[in-house]
Amino acid sequence: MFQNVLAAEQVKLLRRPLLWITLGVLGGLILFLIIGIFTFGGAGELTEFLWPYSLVTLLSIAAQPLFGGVVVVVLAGFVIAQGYTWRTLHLWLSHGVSRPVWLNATFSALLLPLLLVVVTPLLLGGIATAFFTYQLEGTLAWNQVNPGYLLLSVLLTAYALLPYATLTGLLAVVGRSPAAAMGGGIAFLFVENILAEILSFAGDIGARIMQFLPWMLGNGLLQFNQAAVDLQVAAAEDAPQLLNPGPAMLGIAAYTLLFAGLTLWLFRRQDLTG
Amino acid sequence: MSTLVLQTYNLSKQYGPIAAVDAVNLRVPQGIVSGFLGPNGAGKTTTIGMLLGLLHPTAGRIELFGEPVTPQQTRVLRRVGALVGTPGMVPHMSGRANLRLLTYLYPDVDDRRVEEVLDLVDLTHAANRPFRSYSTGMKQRLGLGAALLHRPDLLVLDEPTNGLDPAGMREMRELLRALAAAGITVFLSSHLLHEVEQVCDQITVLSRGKVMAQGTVAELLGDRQVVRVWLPAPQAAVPVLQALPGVRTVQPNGNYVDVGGISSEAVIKHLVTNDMVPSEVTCGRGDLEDIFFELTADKAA
Repeated sequence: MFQNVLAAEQVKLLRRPLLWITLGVLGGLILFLIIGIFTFGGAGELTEFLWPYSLVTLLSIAAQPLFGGVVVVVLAGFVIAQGYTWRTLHLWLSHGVSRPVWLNATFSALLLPLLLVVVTPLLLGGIATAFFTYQLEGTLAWNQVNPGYLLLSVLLTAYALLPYATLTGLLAVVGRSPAAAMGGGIAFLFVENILAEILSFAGDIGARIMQFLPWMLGNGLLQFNQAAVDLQVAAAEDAPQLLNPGPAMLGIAAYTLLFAGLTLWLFRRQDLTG
Repeated sequence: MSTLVLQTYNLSKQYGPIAAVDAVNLRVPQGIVSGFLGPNGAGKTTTIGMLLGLLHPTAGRIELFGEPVTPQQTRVLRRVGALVGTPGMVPHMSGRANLRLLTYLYPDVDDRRVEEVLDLVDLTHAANRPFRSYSTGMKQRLGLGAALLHRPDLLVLDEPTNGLDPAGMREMRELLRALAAAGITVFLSSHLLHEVEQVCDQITVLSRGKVMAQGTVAELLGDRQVVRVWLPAPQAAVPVLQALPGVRTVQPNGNYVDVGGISSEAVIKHLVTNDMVPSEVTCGRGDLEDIFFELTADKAA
């Protein structure tokens, strides 16, 4: 039954204009950014956007809460909360689909857009930065790209966004409306950002706490992405302390399981009326 | 006795101090159209929500086809088709695509069945239009199609004629009768007395969450039968008729006496036994509307 519901949820998702609109906006923003950097950027900024290191930078941008995170919140908010407002949730449950199966299938169906949120900037940005780099340097260092590691980096970057998807799922189940889910999710992204700023001024203890914010765990995990290219760019001096990719991965899993578990617990107890 | 398809045992749902559904016991045999009648706010939709595992009962239990149903235990609902409120469809997808989406749940239901159902609910001509462009009646018909798609054994319908025009309502009644004739049990909630009276074999009247009456239409109307007898001396017959066991009312009216709550045969036999031969006997029936208002008058909100 899980596979059947998952297949149906995928069809529903892929036929949503919203998915393609948000991905289009995401791609447009990336291209706008790259054109801006190559047109007006200084040497330091340019280094990070020169091919092939640009692939690491693009993955990093995709995982930023206020970039990829917002898109994930919007998509997850709509996908889960519209089950309530469109009453498709009621229809499926009244056909004998169990609540855990529906919720797991819906969360699983979100994995594809999560990947697209990472792949879209990587693909469009990769092509654009390759073009501009070739214009500047007359060559592209293909041999510095590790395709296997790049693929793994894509998966890890999507994984880093999971806590935002499950948190929005939780808010969608609590609020039963896309506006509540998205509003709450985006508010969390801003609060997390502000909290990180505050903690960065709070000395060692602040820095240690900051490491465990979902955003910083994501950044810790994405240190692995450096392996996708045989080229290193020195980290900025004021870069925050990050956990190593292994513990960061566990931290992200903990957040994801916490939010998903709470969602399931609430959903199973919920009365579905109206 | 025929198999019971739907049974509830003291089913209750409490919202704070308000008992939306109060110890409801339903028994629906196989292959009939069972009406669930009550004014708005009587608890019909709440009861149906519990039957479909959407709401948690505060107390009591539900069995469909002998299997329990709770929000955590809904496997048996695969044998049920339901239409509750506005049908839950994806607005930007066409009617056909929405039905095809449901076929993922039923591997034995193919695209041919989707076309059959579209034809059955008279939506073939609009099958490629987005659901959001449908009129209320069309949405309701597609919802019925979704409920019938997997050939269910039990159909649960909450106010299915909402939004339908008179012709559509008549078609719906005919369809429900045909489904019942084919062995499908229909549980139909409505506040439209006429609709229920025309189509249902059994009726449950609900008011303020309580079952006020349950039985066949004939049974419910049975005690409201009024036997009108013409007698040469009606005043003399009144005490005689009042002495007849089972009589509810005896009302003289000129040369007639109206006797309520008992069959015409019993009245005639009793009068003849007492040497009073009526020269004319007619039977009148109250209608379901009378009963409905009598049962729900002081209960309805």
